[in-house]
Amino acid sequence: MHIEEALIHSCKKNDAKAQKRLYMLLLPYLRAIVNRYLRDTSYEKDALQESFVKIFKTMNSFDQQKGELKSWAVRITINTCLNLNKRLIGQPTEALESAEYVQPTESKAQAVDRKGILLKVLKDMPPDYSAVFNLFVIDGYDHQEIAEILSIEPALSRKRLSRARVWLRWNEPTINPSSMAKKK
Amino acid sequence: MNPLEEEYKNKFSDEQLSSNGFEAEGLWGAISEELHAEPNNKVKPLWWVFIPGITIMFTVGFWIIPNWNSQEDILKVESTSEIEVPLDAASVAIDEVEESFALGAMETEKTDLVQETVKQTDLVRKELTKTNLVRKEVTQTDLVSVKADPTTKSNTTLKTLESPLVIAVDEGEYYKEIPPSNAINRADKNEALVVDSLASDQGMSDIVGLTIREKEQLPKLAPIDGMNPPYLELSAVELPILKEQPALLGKDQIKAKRNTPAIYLQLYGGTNFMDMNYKGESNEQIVDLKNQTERIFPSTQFGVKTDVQFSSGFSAHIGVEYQQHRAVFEIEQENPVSILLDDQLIRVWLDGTSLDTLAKEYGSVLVNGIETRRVIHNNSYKMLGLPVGVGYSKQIGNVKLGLEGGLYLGFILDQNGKTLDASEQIVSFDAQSDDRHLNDVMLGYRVSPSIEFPVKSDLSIELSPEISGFSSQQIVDSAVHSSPLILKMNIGVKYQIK
Repeated sequence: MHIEEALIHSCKKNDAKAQKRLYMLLLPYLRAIVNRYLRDTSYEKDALQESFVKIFKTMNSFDQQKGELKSWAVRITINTCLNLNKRLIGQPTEALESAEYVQPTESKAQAVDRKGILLKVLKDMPPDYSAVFNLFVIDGYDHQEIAEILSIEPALSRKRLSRARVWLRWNEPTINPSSMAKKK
Repeated sequence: MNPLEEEYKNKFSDEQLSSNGFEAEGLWGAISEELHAEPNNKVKPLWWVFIPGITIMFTVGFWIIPNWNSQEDILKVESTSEIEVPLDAASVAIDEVEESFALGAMETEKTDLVQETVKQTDLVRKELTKTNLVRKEVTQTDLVSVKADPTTKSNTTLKTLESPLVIAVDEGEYYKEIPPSNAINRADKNEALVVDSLASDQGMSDIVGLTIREKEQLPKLAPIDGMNPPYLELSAVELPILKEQPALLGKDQIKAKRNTPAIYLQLYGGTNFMDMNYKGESNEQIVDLKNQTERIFPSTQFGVKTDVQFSSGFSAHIGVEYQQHRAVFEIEQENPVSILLDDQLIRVWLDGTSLDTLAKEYGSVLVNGIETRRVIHNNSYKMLGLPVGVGYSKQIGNVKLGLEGGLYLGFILDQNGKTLDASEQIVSFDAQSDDRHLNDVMLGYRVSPSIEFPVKSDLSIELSPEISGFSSQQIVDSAVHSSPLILKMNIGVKYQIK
């Protein structure tokens, strides 16, 4: 996605129309990020609002020479979601409470629900593991960057990734029930 | 990257979610409102309230009160005397007074005086042979410039800020043992202990949260051979603290022990009141008089302190602080004095036959009076102190309560002011004077409770009253000695540096 330089410039000048245009451009991407990182999606709007406010308020610190605006906004949103997850700790999450998930039967439904299953498994994963897994596998950050985002050591990021992988192996029957049945 | 991870990447990387069914406009309205809102009067968290207080306190401590010393206080000496002037009534004749009025311009400079005299003599018009008294009140004020200044002293407490989270486990030793599962079975109940692994803010250690959930509410893990129901047994969770203390299972708050002590740095300041507490058996009168004439006055102190806090809750601390103390010396004394009053008498010589005026004279008279002297002075003491001691603190809810005590070594930097000597005379004293109140080096004790409010994980604000007392201070051969008592109220900012 290309965002015009003029649009960024107008947003830096606090132009409301330009801000709304940028908001509409970024919203689909950031919704996906929030949906994936936030453990309790009932706070989706809170996370998005907080993220967009941060983005617009700190827009002047964004340097186009150092990267794309979308990547910068995504990183802010990820941080917002991780912080929100921390604040929500201790409260029962939807992921924990909705223990059962429906086995897909129809082939079309399977295609649609496949993404849902993957997402649910990702959210059932312990928060530390899922954060590193999301950042490394899906969003392509390296361990050094992950360490900065999560305020941990790179070595710990590697450890968490390997544990996330083990966790996924344990839960493979949930993800691929048919393959497990074949093994048996 | 294995096939499953590839699938995750393909399905979620650069993903977009449609805005269909999502209230994009409504969300934008909220964002826009927040972005373009006027600065509002949000209620600040409580700890911000302390910021102006600290600022004011330090301003007073560092600037205003020390500068008071550079000004010149006024020592006021007032004398009010009531004198009795003997007036020889026989020397004044009514006619002569009238004649004085008739003198006109030639005598105008004395007219007022004559009028006054007439008023007095009018009372004795019919008894010219008797002596009467004229009362006259004289008030005079001496302005004497005297330097005065205040001083203070203090110290405070440090307490560790323990994490309110449920269990803290040192990462290197314990964290790696946590398996990729999240539940510990409690066979006897329909509950499971859920382990949520969370990263700490500081990245120094991980926080492991334990909460009890009903098994039915837990996500169903896929059945695995040899492990059904899919809750892990305790042995599978190689968390040493649980293995060593199985009784902790089922408790949702487990406090982990720190292996290394935490170190805090504290900056603080506050206000104090010092009572010199004069004593002395051989001369009780002067002791009483000194205690009566010196009044406690508030002053300030500020300091810095380090505190080493152990996991048991005990701590040791050492610090350095600068304190000023003030006392108001106030006394009113009466002394008999003689006052020379000019032109108080009119003596007139009359011709015995014609009653014509032969001569007249205006004379001075020396009278007895009482001088009332009132002295007010700000006595000042400055001290550099070293508080050393131990303490204990305990987390209760969101605050931490503590108590600490120890020794206080004080070095007097300066002292000056006014006091009474053994003969009850007002004298000035300074750091070298025999009449000074405090020794150059003082040793005392201190006790201080405290309450600590967390601001961030490594920053807190502490309120700590303190009482300290010092050994007997006796200067040279004075019959009077003092055992100063100091009451302080400090507020400080405490930062965990390790």
